[in-house]
Amino acid sequence: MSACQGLKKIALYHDGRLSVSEQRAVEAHLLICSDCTNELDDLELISRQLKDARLPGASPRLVDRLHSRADDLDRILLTRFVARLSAVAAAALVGIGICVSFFGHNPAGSRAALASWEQSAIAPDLNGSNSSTEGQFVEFVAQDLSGGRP
Amino acid sequence: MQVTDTQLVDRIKIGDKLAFQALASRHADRLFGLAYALLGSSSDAEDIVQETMLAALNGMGSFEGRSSVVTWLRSILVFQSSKLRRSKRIRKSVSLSESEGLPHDVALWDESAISAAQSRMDVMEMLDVLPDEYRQVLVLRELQQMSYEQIAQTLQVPLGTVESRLFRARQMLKQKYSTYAS
Repeated sequence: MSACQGLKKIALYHDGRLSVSEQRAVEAHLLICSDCTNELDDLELISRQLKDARLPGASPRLVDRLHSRADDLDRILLTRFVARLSAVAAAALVGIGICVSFFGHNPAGSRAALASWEQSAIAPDLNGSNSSTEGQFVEFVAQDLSGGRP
Repeated sequence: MQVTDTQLVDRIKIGDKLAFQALASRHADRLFGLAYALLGSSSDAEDIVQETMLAALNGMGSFEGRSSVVTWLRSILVFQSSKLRRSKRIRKSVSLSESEGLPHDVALWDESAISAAQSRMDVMEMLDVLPDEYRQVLVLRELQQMSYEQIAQTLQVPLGTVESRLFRARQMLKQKYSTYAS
């Protein structure tokens, strides 16, 4: 075991991170190794020194300030609600857009519908006088627009 | 029966302001102590504790309870402290005569209080020379008495990283301490 590994083992022993068998092995080693014993003493000294430095507590002023932060809760909840609502609305809009692009607007279908309308508009009338009158009217309008030329 | 932290968080999520105040009161001392140990300044520590609680309030909706509430709060605080230290490049050494380290509510002539404050400043002075990542593990382990697992969860690093950082931090502190003691 290298010196560094030995020191790490001592640190783990100090923190109670070793198994029972490893602890026993380290304790046996400590009896014969002054370097590791000194290392353990140093670690204990550092720990004691740090633990003795009692940390200050929060001042009443800080606690008051923290309490006043509770007033932000309404704003935060409202912001979160609006954000969720916006997300739902955006998702709905995207969904509608996708539906329209797939089912509502079909260029090929539209062109076919237009072509059939144009064909029916210029097709010769086969259904009697009523339609024939309309045909004559259309012919008259066409002549009128072209300055009376047939 | 005392209401648990998780129950308080559940109440806060539905807008209970008193629950937030109760949570703040419960953890204010611990969070302030941690912030003070990490930053070495009362005013910075106060700012960071406030920012931590505000960040917690904002993120309360996404808290899923995978860690304990206090671990979650500590994680936020350590992150905020680290950010502040980076931005301010705090490299000041705390003078023994500086009154900042004195507790807020003790008489100046109270010998035990002065002794405690001086001891605290000695430690702060030693901790101040450590790089952030070493300072954090040492403070969490020695001053906050946290287990390796809790530290790993708080810092979001593997257990092995906690182990090696703690080892290096102690080695560095040992060197500094021997210089300091001599």
